[in-house]
Amino acid sequence: MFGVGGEILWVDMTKGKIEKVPIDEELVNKYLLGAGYLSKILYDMIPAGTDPLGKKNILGIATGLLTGSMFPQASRHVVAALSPLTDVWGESHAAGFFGAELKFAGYDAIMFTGASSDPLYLNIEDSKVELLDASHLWGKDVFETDDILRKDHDRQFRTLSIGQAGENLVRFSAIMNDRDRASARSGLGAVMGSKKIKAVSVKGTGKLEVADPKNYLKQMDIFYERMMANPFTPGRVKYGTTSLVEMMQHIGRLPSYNMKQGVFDGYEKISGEAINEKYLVKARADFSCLQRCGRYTAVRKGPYAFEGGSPEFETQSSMGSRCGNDNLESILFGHHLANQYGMDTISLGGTISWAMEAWDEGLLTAEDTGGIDLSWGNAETIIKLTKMIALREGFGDVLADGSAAAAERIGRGTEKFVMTVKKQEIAGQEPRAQKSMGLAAVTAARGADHLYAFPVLDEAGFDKEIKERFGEQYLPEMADRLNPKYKGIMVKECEDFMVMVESVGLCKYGTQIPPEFYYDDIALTLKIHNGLNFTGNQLQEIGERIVNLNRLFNARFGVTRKDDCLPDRLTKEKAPLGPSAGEVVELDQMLTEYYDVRGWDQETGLPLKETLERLGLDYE
Amino acid sequence: MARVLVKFFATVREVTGVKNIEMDADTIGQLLDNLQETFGERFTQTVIDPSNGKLKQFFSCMINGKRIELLDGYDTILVDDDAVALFPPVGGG
Repeated sequence: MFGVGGEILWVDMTKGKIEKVPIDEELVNKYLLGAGYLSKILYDMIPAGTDPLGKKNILGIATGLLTGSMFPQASRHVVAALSPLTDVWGESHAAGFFGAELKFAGYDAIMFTGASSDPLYLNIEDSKVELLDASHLWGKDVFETDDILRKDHDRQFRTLSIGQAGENLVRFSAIMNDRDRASARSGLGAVMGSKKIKAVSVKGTGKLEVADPKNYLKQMDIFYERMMANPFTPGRVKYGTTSLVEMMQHIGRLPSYNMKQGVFDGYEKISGEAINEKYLVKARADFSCLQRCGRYTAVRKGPYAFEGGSPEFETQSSMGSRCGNDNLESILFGHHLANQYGMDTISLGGTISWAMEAWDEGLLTAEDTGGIDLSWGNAETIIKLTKMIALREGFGDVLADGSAAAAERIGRGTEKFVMTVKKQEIAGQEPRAQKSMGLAAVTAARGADHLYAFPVLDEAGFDKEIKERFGEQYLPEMADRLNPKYKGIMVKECEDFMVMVESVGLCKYGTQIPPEFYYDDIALTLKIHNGLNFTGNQLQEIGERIVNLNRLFNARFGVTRKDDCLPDRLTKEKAPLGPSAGEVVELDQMLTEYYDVRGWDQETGLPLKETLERLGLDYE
Repeated sequence: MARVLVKFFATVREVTGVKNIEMDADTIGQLLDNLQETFGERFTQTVIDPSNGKLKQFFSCMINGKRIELLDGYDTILVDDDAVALFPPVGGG
């Protein structure tokens, strides 16, 4: 096969053994690479009853079929395992340069099994692959680890690592790469920590051979021109995702005060404009990236001084409006700290905001918190708790297991303020203001998640794309973010497409929003880059197969329709303020439509036998 | 005529030079004409598609948080105190 590294590294952490296994082309034909490939391997190897932090969990890191190619935004890699936060399928993705570098070294994926008793790191320099002592790195943060590894080897190495949060098994700890790129969701940093894997350092000097070089170069030029000419591109370069704060405020979709409401009085203070005005250093691009939504920012003086990676919309919302916090410097610094310790800022802010609401309601007191004042908007507290959670100190230890576990431990009625699905904190989309996002959060395999489907077609006026992808008969309802009609159909289609995109290593920016590239563009590139012959329809079916396989994985851990639910606040309490005031999420209606188009049983929410047979999936 | 508050964001704000403006108009179509008159050529070049005189693709115009495409488009009638927002292409999560 062309355009791949060619081998998978299997690393047994218990025995310290490394094996190189050729990529399984039969699996690629059914699941592609990336998320799909890992879905199949982990489904086959992780039985019911597995402890997410035990030796039997398996951690996979995989590139996609196009990672390292010249396709716009072909920078992605995926990590997956049984999640210690949700106890179901765990998966997370990141950009950067690590994935491409791994491929250039000759490897498409790394599978970690077992657990070591002492800290180790995996060092890869083309064909030389070794497990090395990491005792000098244990206890170091992500930036220190990157500095040491690149000093000890050379500056050309790319690193992926955990910080103290992963070492301390914080259940929403991230796996970081290239310093400030995060595979943040699902708490997979803790799986890495439980196996005592501190880092992976990689340098690859090999080349990717492509199937049809002449047409490949010609086609990539065309894709380059299309991406650069897309009307979204200039704004992405200028603001990244930070200007979403203003947009979301104006549709009432900016989660504020632990999702009590979707508008925040202080939104202008934490907006993209505010970041650009005083703190932006420059935009940054990852491998093959033309959207350049990453950026660097700096706070030059004061208690929150730093220079480094900049938050995206999710962190502005989670550590800002969600906590009632309009102190922008504290958000920028808090994000930097979360990267340094290696934590998911969505679950971090979601957990702190749960505690703030419980405090506001008088259900948590200074006795519980060790004297920490959890008043809404207390920036000092947010920063203090970020450190305490990573290090599992004091009240931070309670919060380090996420808001669902913390509420279970505290009790006293604090459970009703938990804004999670399957124990993962809901991301920055107030679903009463965009119904598709509410459905997507409950159907996503990894628990609350906006990205598994990323159903943004009803958000910013993609009527034309809806007409092309679905048909005119679905308009105007499908394009209306407040109308639950046809959202089951939309979320299903978006999930199939997005998991396929995640299996070829592309970004959702450029495929879903803006919706520039679709199935046929990817099928064409797989042909000229990898020498694989898929039609657009076959790629859609692969996406559908992966979604169903993820559902079967979760069924093994007890998931049924009863788990596909949102907090009562979002389905029963009307949004109190703003442009979406009076709205609730009509979840049952959308879920019924979704199960119907998925071919899943309405009562159990599990795939029907004929659905699995159609997709060529074995079932238990 | 209705008196409405028009808010500008991101690259649109860069060409208007102001965050918002109060303006009188009967419909969104008329409001956009007035905005072009007030802010001149640079505003028109940034926001308006010369082939049809409407907003460029993916630019969002909202009245009280609702996209005009889901109302009566450019014929949507404005009433006093409506909040109109004008965004360049932006979206996601």
